[in-house]
Amino acid sequence: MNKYLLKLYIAGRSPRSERAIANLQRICDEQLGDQYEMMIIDVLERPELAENEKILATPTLIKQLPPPLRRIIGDLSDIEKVLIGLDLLP
Amino acid sequence: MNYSAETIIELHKLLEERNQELQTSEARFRNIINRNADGIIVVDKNGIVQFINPAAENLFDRSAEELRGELFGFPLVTGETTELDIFRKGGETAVAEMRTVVTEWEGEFAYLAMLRNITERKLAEQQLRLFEASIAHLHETVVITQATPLDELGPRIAFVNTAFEHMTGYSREEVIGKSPRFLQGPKTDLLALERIRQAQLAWQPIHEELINYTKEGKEYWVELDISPINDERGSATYFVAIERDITERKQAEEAIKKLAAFPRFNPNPVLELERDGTLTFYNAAALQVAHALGKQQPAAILPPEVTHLIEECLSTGDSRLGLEITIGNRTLSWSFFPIMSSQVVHAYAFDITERLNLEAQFRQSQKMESVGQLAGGVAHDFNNILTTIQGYTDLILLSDNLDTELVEQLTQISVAAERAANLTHQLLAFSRRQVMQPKQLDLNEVISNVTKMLRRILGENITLQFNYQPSLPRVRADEGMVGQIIMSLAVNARDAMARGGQLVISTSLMEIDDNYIQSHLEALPGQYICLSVSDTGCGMDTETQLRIFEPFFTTKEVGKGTGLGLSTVYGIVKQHQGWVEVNSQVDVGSTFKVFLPSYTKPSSVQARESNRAEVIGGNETILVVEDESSVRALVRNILQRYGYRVLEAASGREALLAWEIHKNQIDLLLTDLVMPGDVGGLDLVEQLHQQQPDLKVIYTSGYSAEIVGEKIAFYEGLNLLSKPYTPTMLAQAVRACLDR
Ligand SMILES: Nc1ncnc2c1ncn2[C@@H]1O[C@H](COP(=O)(O)OP(=O)(O)OP(=O)(O)O)[C@@H](O)[C@H]1O
Ligand SMILES: [Mg+2]
Repeated sequence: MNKYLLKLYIAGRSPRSERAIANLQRICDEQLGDQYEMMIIDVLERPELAENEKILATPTLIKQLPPPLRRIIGDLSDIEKVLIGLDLLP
Repeated sequence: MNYSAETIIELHKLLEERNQELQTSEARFRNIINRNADGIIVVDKNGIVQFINPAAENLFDRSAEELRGELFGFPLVTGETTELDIFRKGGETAVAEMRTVVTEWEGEFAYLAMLRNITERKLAEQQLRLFEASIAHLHETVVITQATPLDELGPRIAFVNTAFEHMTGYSREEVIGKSPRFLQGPKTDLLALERIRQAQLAWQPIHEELINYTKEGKEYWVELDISPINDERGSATYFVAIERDITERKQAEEAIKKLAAFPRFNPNPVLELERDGTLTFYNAAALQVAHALGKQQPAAILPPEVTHLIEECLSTGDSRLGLEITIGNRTLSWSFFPIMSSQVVHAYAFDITERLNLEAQFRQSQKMESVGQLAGGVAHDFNNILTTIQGYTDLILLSDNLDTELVEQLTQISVAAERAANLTHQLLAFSRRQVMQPKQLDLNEVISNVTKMLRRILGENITLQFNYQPSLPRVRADEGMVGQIIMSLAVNARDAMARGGQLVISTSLMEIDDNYIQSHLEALPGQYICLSVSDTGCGMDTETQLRIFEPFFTTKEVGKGTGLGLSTVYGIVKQHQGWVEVNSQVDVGSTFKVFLPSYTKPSSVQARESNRAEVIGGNETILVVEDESSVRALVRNILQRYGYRVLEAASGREALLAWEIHKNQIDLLLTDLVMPGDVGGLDLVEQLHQQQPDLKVIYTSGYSAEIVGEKIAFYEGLNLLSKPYTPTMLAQAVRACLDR
């Protein structure tokens, strides 16, 4: 089974970031079991990564693997929309 | 289908119009989008930026050219807005609120995201939350009141923080909408409240300290700052009051004030000095004492070595106590205490002049007392010896047919003995053992009686002035003794004014109170007649003044003064329950003041003038009681010579025995007042008077201490003979007594 590699870009530990992290955690737990790897990148701490990925706004969630690469922006509170956006709906 | 050209033209026209319309509406639409304050960004189905309006360019700090074709990602479409952190080109971030709708772009499915820059709003919110949290957690009480209405009740409370609830005990709900009046109470300063009201009326900030009351009625001190708060348009809408509980500070202030009163109201000088000697505090007493001593500055009454003392105190941490310094005629005792924490020294002074004076006076009187006892003791024995010498000499001289040469020699002995007797007499006077014959006297009269003699003694160069207080109460005193006092003092004054001057003798009535006694050890309260003898002579230094009353103390050349004058005065005055004060300054003069108690008791029988008539003998039987055998033998001889029958006894007991045997024959008892053994003169007389109340008695004595205070009245020459007495005096007294 393919593992998912998810990268969440956030900006500092603001309530917005916390909300996004919590939502993503929930989605992964509920939908992906242990088949995922999740990276949380604070662009304030690692600005060069944001630069590389050309992150324009956070929270930005990138599904790196499996292809196709998907990128969604928002606080991830609407699970269904997130799943659609990530191309994860069966 | 065929269309006519017209139709085509018509259609074409229509199409043109439509196109025109469409273009116009698109332009209008673009215009709206371009001018929109919100950023608009269109992302295609791959998440690539297709369109971006100027507001969005601004938000991202990137141009449309830069952004078009970039991967933005799919903005999540939700019913709600989401907040995003936007990365601007410069590296700063902004906060945007995003709302996404699904749209169509060039015929394809696309997303349109509207981004509203809410960075400032967020910042403001954050700040507000910070303020809220701060106010909530503040220890200080915060009370926000509405600016209006500003009526009599004052502004109404719009907000209080938790600290307010804790401090006052009122809950927020209880106080909102009320005037903060309910915090005030009986001790709240009305003037402060009025100042607050005035400040509020003038929209001015104000700082005050007030007493407020908790819900339970406990009072507490607050320090409050009230500031008006202006809205954007600049008009005051609220007052914010920040209040701090300063009860502890107030209490500490009170305590400090109270403590500060201690040095301030201390009647003795209190000073504070810094290490270099700078005076940092002095109390009113310090200034007062300085002024009294003729100094301008309180520092001038400090010991001269004060800087050294301070240095020593501060470097050792030890205090220095009881340092005495004399300024003018006052002596101050200084104590220095280092206060290490503030590196200052506290100095306390105490005026010990009075105490030192009293101590000196006490030492003086102790000395006089012991010298007096010694002198008295010697004089007493001496009197017995002199009585014998003089008696026998006189007795022989009374014999007939004496060789003229022998008479000459015996006369020499008699004169010498008399001189010796005078000396002992003076000594006895000093030791207060002279027999005193007090009478009620007008001191003014006594003085005028001796005036003639005084003028003769003083000579031409000394003017004599009197200052009588008229109608003085009488004194109970021995006139001869008082005369002696005046003469002694006058002679001394004369001697002090070798080149002339003025002698002033005054009398005055003085009421001696407890206050006076405080500073005069020998004084007693009551009414006194003061006899003052004042001269403008050479005066005396302090050392001399301390010794003048000592017997044989004299500064006069040998032969001129014996040093007994003032000792005698002292003794006499003491014997009269009075005292002497001296005031003298070298080269200015001296004043001697003699205080004698005024006599207030009812007048008693005056002593009858003793009869100086011719000495007559008799043949009566006389019991002579005398412990000193030589005196006894002399008395027997004298009395026998005058024809009397003499019975002898050496003690009171022997006298009682003699009485048992000869009681019916004895006409007169001549007894020494003071004798060794259990029966003294007075006891003897008392016992014999029980058996024979009219028994005639003559006491002999050189010892008046016992006479003072006795119930019996003694009259020299009548029932009393002072030793040494001459045979004539004895014979006269015996006859007078028998004939009474
Ligand atoms: N008015 C005075 N002015 C200055 N010194 C005085 C005065 N009165 C007494 N003194 C001093 O006190 C001393 C003692 O006086 P005091 O009368 O006891 O003895 P005296 O005068 O020396 O001798 P005396 O009185 O026995 O002849 C004097 O020698 C003198 O030094
Ligand atoms: Mg004298």
